[in-house]
Amino acid sequence: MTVDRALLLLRAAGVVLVAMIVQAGVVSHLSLFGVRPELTLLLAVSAGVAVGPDRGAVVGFVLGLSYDIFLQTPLGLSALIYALLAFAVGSIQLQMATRRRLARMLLMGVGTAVGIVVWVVAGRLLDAVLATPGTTIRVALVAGMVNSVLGLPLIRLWGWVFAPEAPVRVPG
Amino acid sequence: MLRPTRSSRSRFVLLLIIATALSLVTLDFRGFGPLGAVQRGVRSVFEPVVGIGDFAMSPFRDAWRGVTDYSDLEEENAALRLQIEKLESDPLREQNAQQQLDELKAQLQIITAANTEGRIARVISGPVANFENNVRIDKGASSGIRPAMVVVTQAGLVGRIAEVTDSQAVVELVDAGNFGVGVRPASAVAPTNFVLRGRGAGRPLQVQGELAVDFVHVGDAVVTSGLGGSVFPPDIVVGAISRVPEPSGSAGGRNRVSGVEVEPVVGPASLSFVTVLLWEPKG
Repeated sequence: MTVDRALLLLRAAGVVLVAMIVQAGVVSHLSLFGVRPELTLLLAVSAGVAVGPDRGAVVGFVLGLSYDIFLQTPLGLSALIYALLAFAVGSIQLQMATRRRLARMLLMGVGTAVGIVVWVVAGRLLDAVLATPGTTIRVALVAGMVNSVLGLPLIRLWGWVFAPEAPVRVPG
Repeated sequence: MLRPTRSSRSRFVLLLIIATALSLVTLDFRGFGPLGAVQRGVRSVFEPVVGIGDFAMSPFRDAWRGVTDYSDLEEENAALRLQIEKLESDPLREQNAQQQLDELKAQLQIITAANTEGRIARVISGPVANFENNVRIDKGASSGIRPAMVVVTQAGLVGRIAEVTDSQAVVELVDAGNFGVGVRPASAVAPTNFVLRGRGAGRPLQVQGELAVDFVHVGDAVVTSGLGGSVFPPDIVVGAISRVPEPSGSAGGRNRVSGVEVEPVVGPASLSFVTVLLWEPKG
């Protein structure tokens, strides 16, 4: 393993660790319109946008798995959803071939909202999540809007984490 | 020789991730022991770090809550004032009657929440994620707390212990989806036991099946029945009947009703300290 590669892993692990501490220790006390921030989901989505579908999927998987440790839902559920979501968002970003802020914000907002709905549906199928459609839509909308605003700095963060690996550059 | 293309490698990585995640979900769903142990172990390692982060961020968090929840706090304050007035107006003889009842039950060695040993614990956080309906407390296995133990306050049933680490525990709240508890109307003369099911945060509990309409009235308190094998000791207040729909039919000469709702007496917003009953059902 090269030094650059080791540093990359160290930085990525640091981001995941801090995200877990913030999500479990801080975010659990905060809410906006009764909705808790979805920081880990935002990190997964922004990773897909920033570093492409492959690396995004791996980051999403690790973030989801770490998050699952603190949840009552089956271990691996968030890991699966976050990985698929980061992959999908990363693929769409590549297809869109644009780095316009508004497009990226929209992508992260919609990605978050879709991710929440898919997570609830999957959780319901496993009999692990029980939420009314109204609550699900409210959480998806609020979290989607919040994440679309907060996502841009995190794209920069992932750019810094993956810098030595020459992240996938989107033309334009 | 053909070299793998970027898209084939991409598909391989994705398939590997999906297969791993699905395997984990399946193993966890089937209650594969070592996985749970690893999960609890990692959580135990994280707990002190999360606690420090929590403490460091508390001023910012309180400021945020002050801004976003100000109107809720005002409403809560007004509701609490009304509650205090009501409590102050209650006749003292009720306290005396309750004391006599407790003494009588103690003499007859009837196990109730009042005469069961408990551990007082502080609620340290709410749910980590949206759609979760639990709270975390600052006592765990080292204080004798085990999964499935019952958690109460002076007002009534809070929930039961879902998961335990050495120093903390997760309490599944009474209105969590799939939470089930055997209850009876507190004032029922005839034996009328039924099961209440949680339906998710903020929603009233619902009675499973049909009941004779004579036995349920809006406002009636319901308490745990504590029938043989129940994980709940008897006579813990769960809530009050909040809705009795129109009778849906009749059986045995009585009108039957389904979909009766019960509003839990303890809300997660009011939880600061709880008592974990160190009681495990026999058999």
